[in-house]
Amino acid sequence: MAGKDRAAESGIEGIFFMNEALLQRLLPGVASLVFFSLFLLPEVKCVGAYSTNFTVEHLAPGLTRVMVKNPWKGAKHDFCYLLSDRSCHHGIEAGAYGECTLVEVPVKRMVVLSSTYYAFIASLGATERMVGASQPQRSNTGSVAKGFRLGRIKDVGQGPNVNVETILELRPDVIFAYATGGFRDIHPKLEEAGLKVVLCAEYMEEHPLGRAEWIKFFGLFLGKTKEACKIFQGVEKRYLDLVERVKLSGDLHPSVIANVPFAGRWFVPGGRSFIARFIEDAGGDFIFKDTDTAGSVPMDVELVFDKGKEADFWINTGTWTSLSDIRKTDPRLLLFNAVRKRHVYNNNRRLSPLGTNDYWESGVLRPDRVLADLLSIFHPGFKKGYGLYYYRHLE
Amino acid sequence: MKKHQGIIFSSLLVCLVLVFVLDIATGSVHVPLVEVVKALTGRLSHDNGWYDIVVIFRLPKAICATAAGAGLAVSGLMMQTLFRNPLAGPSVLGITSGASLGVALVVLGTGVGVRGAGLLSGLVGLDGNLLMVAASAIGAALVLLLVLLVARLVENIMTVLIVGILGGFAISSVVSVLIHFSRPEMVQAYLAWTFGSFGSVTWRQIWIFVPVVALPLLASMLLGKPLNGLLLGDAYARSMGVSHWRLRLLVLFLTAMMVGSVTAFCGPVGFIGIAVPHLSRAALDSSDHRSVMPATVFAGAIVALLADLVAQLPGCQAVLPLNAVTALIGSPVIIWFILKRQMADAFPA
Repeated sequence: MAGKDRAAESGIEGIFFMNEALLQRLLPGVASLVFFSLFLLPEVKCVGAYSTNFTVEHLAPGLTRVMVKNPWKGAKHDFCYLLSDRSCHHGIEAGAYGECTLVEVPVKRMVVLSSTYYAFIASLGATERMVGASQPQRSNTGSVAKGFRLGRIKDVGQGPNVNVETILELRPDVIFAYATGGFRDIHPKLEEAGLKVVLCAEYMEEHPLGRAEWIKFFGLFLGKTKEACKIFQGVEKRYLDLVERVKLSGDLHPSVIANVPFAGRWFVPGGRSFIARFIEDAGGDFIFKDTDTAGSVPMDVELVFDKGKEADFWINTGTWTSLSDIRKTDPRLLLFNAVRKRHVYNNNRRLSPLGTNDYWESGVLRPDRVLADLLSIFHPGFKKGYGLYYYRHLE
Repeated sequence: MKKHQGIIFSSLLVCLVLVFVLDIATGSVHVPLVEVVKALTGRLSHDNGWYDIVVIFRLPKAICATAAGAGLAVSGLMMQTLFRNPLAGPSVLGITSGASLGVALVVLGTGVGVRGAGLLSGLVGLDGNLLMVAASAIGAALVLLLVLLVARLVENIMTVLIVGILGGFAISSVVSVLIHFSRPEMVQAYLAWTFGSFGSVTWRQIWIFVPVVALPLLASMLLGKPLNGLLLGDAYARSMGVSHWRLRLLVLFLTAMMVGSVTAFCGPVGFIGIAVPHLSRAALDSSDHRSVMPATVFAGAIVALLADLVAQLPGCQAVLPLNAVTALIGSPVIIWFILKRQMADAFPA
């Protein structure tokens, strides 16, 4: 960690040194620019650089329009939310901006229907505003699990089996949910009951930083834009630093396969999936990087065997926790080079007592940590003494 | 008549061999036919990458498909005769549901904290795939015991059918409760099993699987005459000297053994059991079990191999779920059969 900080420092010093003369000459202009950006456009620099599925537009002081695109594969239209600050009285009426759902911010009571949002909310210090969630008892996020134990956060069910009556009773300002575009989606029913649903599309992002950037989306609703920006910028910087170091090192790129077969079918992540992106950014060569999809492709085991038999590393291996799990699943998988070299790593080091995986919870917000894990797996000499956070080495 | 049947059986045999070889020769990975033949005849070096693909992946899959297809089709034929219902199939007895519950308990139960799952794995000393096979077989056997008990107690065979079907529903509802309370990755593993596959059987399992299916299959072959008696009604069968409930129990037992083991190793493979008997009866234009039974064995194996072949989508990276393919082949056959019967009733020759 110390080494990384030093590298970052020297970089900043270099920039200042080079531009010193220029800076002095432009100082008045720069100062006024800084002044305006601080007071007039505080959120503008926060607009998404990696996430492609939400856009933010400031209509007036205290009035913001947030558009959510692509909430599921092939979604026909966008979803619009009009965020009105409680402290400014706009007198905006529902319907003033077309189809937009009017939400008073900061949100005070919320129900959260996906565990992938817990880390966003907890890191913004807003867990106490959660009144309901999907299976909070299983959460890896300490404050959420504690909230459930203390009775402050109710379990409202999950997926299509969400209990609408429980939610109605909780009187939330908004419900953060996801949708898949199928008839089992719960949001139409919640809306029918007069509840305000905010659909999130973080799981449709293809870049790991694009997923993490959704903390800004939550920041807008929770009235914590600055905090969200700061947290994201930290994640982004650490992530990009790691990517840069991989590039500079010029190390060989070890070949990588991912996921495990179920009943003869191997669901291989597509070349545009965020897992493929992680592998590439960590300096790995993903064997199936050329499949042109962000989803996964069901492949025959023989195909993965043919192409990936000699791969150096095997990651994200389902529910396996040891090498003997491989033999039990299918002894033929022992023929993979990665198994023979004992280079099999799974992302399930951090399981809650009820078996939920923190990789899908805090990992959404911390792609930098995931990347650091992968980096130290693919390039063992890179980070001496680094302890894996999300990944475990199968032994 | 005899000559006609001779042609049908020899063409079935030729078809079976052809489809078997084709199933091994094609797949997601392109292996030249010469190399496939070399690998099968043992003239390919073990270091060759194609050897592994042909001998370790494709050959056991083709053998598994052959045995499973034959077993399911014959089970379906016997069920249709026993219950005198053209829509009966291997799944009507609830055996498939029993097997599903066993697998669901193992796969999903670990996540829910069901004690039985841990107990079972400790008891059998197995884990992973083999544990799933054992759980499925135990589930199937328990349901079988129940059905046999009912069959022994009540006279009316329709009651047995109803108990089987309703019992199946009850068991499926337990499975959905388990799914409801499970973690997504566990549900995914369970759902993958329900899609069916011949490809997850390894050589070591083949040595268990094939005998377990082949023995009841051979035994069924000997039942041609008594089954013919059943076709003419219980009373007639009795007058022919066919021991009534003993035959019934034997048929149920053989079916459960075949269906239970196929479901255990390949998942709940649908439609082959219902559709193939109709195909073979139509091809032979006869209901005589002494000829329909062997024809069903061949046709079942051929259809299963064909389904596997289609599911691999040769030349494509992606593959299809097996059950989707069997349903695509199976449902038109059933529809055709029903329409044909309706037409025959409407316009008698």
